[in-house]
Amino acid sequence: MKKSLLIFILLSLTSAIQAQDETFGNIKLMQLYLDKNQLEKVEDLYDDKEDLLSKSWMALERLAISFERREKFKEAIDTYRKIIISFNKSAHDKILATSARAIVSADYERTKLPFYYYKLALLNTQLFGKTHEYTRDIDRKRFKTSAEGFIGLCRKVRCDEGDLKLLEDLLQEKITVDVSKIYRRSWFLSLDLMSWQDRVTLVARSGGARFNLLGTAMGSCIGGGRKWENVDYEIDFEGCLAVASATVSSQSTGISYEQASVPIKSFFVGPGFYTKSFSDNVLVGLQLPVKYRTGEWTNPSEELYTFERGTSIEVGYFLQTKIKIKNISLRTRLGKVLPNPGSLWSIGAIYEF
Amino acid sequence: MFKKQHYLFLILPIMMIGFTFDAHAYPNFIGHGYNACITCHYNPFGNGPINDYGRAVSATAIGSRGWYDDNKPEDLISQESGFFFKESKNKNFRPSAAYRGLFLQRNFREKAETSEYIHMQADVNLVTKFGDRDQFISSFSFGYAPIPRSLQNTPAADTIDTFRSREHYIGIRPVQSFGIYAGLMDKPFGIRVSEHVAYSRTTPQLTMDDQAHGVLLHYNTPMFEAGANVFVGNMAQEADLRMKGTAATFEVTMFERNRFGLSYLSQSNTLLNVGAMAMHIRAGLDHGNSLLFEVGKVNKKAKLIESVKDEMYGMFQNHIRAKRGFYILNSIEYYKNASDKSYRVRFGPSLQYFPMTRVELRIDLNNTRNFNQQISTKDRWDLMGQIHLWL
Repeated sequence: MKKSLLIFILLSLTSAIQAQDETFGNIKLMQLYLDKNQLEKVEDLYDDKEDLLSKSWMALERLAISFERREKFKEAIDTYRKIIISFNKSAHDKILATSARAIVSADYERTKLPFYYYKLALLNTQLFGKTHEYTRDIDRKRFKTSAEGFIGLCRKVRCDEGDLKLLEDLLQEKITVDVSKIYRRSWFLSLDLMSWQDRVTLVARSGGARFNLLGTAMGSCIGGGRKWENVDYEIDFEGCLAVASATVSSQSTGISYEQASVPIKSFFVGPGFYTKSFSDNVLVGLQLPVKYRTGEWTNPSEELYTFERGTSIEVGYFLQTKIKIKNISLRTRLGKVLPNPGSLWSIGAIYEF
Repeated sequence: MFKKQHYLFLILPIMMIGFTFDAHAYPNFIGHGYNACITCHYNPFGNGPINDYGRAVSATAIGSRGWYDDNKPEDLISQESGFFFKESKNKNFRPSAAYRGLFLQRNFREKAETSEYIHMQADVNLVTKFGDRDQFISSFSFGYAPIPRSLQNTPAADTIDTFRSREHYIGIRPVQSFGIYAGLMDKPFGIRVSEHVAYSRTTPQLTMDDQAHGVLLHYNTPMFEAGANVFVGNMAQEADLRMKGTAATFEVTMFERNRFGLSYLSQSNTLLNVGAMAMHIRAGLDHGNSLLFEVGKVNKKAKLIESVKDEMYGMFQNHIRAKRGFYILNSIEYYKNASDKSYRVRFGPSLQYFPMTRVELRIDLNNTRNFNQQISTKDRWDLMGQIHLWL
């Protein structure tokens, strides 16, 4: 029995030594690949020997460096975290639980925690700084919070203050982009070239037969409004008076009607909304106008016909884009006012005070 | 009243451009800082195959990286933008292939709605280039191209082969800033927008099948770009139909990312004289956004009958980069035939998506409105879905 146990121990020892030799051999190879900047080979080797190499902090450290060099920041962060949890957990927990003043160098001098904390702070700062073009602010803030957390830990273990200050400056630069969520108020004037189509209905006094007329109007709309904007959104309330000229003709076979240069007046009022998701100066949004319209179309025979509505109040929507250049903006809008056929569009300029 | 409104329509965009003093492929990509076509294309005025740099830009600045691993380095994506996903080892030969298909619904959601799918382009191209600065170049494209719609069901259609070359030329650039090209090319005039049905392209007759054999001179510096083209018509066409003449264009860079230009065209065949002039502005805004603006006047004189037509067009387009790979376009076009009082305005929002390099998807909705003193007509809506693939 004792003999069997001895053999088992010897075999286990031999196997452990062989595994250790193999691990060291692979770590050397990983370092060689790093030196030659063959980063994909570092990761391939780790993937092949993951069972063995995942137990070595030296291998994981080289893997993290490889990820970092390839700008695979998230993988690098995961790897450094794994090193801390797997190999430095007790020291890490103690640092977390202890105030900065109470920490002494003996708490971390036998570990590489200062290096790992710095790397984690740096990598999160990198993610925060480099993802602003395609990552939502809310997600980016997680990187910033995380970076600040590791800067704090790094300070606890006496990392170089100059290095930490640099990271804080890098984080601060991006913070200035989203400092203000406060809505600023201002007034604006607008001038648009606008076109729309009106449905006009002529009704026979006897019998009540209805004849559809279509008016195509083109005119200028001058107005203004109040707006509230912050770094993300712009909300406004706008009114404008459109003075237009229309051609009106019949769409019904039962009546012939043609009238050109009909004076039309319309008043548009309503709230609008823009998002600045794409750029601070190129805004895309929606407007919900209410339209009050009067038209001076001629009744072909007062005895025979009457217009169903001389004036009307209608509701619609605009999809709008605005390109801001200093305090002047170029705006285009395309939408529809119900129940009219056709679209309603405009192109114009806005002056913001 | 109408005249004043026309004036407003023209003056507003000019006024806006005037304020872009510090405003910080397709001509729209001036928004990314690419002022000149030759940066990304072999043809100095765009169109046709893109060069290695253009492929890399398309992969790493234009195309989305949504389909790639978040951590895939840009240089690796750039390397895969070459022909058949490889970085070219050979310096002298650059093969490529391209396909464009269009799903077109005319009179969208009307009783007269019609749908069709058009293979607009399916061709292969070989560029050869030699010299230490690639100063000797040739480009040859060949493939399928549909019979132009205006010639379909006419005797002229029989003379056109659906498999043909729409571009082939040789060129030399003795110095970086100057080049001479000879062969079948598009004529340099105005802003070469990709929408070949734009009034700015159809009115001066410079659309997808209007290339001509000729000699093109090109001069380009960061501040100034100019081109002059003397052409004798497309030699594959019957002699009577060949448009012969000259075209010239120049653009001046103003305030870094804005370009102001003028263009001139004079061409004729045995049936028609066409003269055209245009003024154009391209303005690059921040974050890849841009504005294009062009106004032009075209004079057409028929030779066999007494007929003169003066036409005017205007084109305004904003190109909004919603996120990398995804753009929102808004085009407003104006067309007027001076001989009658009517005019047309086309309002067209579009979505353009480059999910990855080599793939472009696009949806356009065109709303055309006729303004007429006699009759009021319903708007016309056309829906277009496009796919553009290249290798």
